[in-house]
Amino acid sequence: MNVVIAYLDTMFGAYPQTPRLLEAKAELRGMMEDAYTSLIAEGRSENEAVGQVIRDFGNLEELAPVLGITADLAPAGAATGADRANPAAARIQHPPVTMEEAQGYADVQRRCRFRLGTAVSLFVLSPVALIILPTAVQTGAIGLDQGVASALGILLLLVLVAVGVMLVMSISRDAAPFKRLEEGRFSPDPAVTRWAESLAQQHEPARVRALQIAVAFWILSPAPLIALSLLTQGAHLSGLWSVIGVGLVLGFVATGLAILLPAAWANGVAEKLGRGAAGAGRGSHHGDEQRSVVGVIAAFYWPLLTAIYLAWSFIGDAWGSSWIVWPVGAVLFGAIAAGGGALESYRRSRQ
Amino acid sequence: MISADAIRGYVDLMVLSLLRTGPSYAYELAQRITAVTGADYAIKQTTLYSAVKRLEAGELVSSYAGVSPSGKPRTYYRITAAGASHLNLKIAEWRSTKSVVDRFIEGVES
Repeated sequence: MNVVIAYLDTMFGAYPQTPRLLEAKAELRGMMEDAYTSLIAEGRSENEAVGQVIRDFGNLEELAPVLGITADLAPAGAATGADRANPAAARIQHPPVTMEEAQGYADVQRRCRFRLGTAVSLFVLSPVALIILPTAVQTGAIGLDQGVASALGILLLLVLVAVGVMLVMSISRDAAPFKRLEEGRFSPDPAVTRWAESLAQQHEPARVRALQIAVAFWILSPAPLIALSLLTQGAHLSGLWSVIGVGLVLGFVATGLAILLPAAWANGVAEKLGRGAAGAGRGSHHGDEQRSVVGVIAAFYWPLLTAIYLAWSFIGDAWGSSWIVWPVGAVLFGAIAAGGGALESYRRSRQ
Repeated sequence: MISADAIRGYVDLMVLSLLRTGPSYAYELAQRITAVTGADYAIKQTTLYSAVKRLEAGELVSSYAGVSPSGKPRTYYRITAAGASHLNLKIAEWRSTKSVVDRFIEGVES
């Protein structure tokens, strides 16, 4: 209900607080409270009830003749002083996002959350066989030809990447009706923004918990590698153990991502819907900075790291030492993710 | 689904006809309208509120402060004598409007 009251305050905030206006606000608030209470009594969730009440509100311009307020006194929606001073900017404004679109978009993000987590995890895990198999052959642990081992490793890498890409494609197919939201070709709507924020707030505890677990996984990820390297030093097959440690690093990183990404969907929706078209005034200045740091890293960091690892190993023929990329990369990732998460929470708390 | 524009002129008539059975408040009016229209038309709260205030300004309905069963202050509206006769006029007008428009529609459909 707080979201509804905040929404009403926002809508009326642009007008001078005359007695007639305050009376209208009080009566509309009463109507919204009644509607909210009866929706909750019908067994709807808090989220659905808030969305429905805000959708049924209508618009204040309709009240203008009754309340004696004029439309030019109230910049509609996201229009700001800057937009009025610059008519060209106002003209290219995209149509505002509707509540139906927002709810559909949130629904798709919720349905796709495990697919996204799985896809990113697969990308991270894809080089594991390529890392382990050639060393296993070299040390004589597996009776395979060196070339066959490499080929198998590359084949498995391609298969995992292909499955991951297929998952990503199925996500974009499901999200296709909401392409303009994905691309930011909309102007934010205060009602939708508030609804999305309340959605994110509701899922925030789960997201923070997932982030904590994931960061713990990332920070701990080099531990098996270090332990295996130290414990098996000089022992039979010590090279193989180190490489298995590298595989475990990737496994830990992938597990962290698989835990975090499915829990972060509501947060992503709120960030996306609150932002709107770049440069559409209010809300855009903190938009890009606020993009989930972890999401960006997951998308670019690990494929990049894999590329660095493979390039260094193949070109420099440094299979013996290039594994150092993984523990260093993992610790760095854990640190960045933890820092980014803290920064985001801090920003959120200040808003 | 009827567009808000198509039905705008008739919200007053809907509100007056509901108030004829007794005083009511804004949310109950919205509920009763939704109960009758179902999925055909969803009235927005600002639409209803402006209709009620317009009627009040025209002295077709009068308002008084009441209290909800849970003790919340609430504005009740009741139809005035002028409102009742205005409603009768409007009903007659609607019937003839409907019959005139129907004559054209039937010509198109047959």
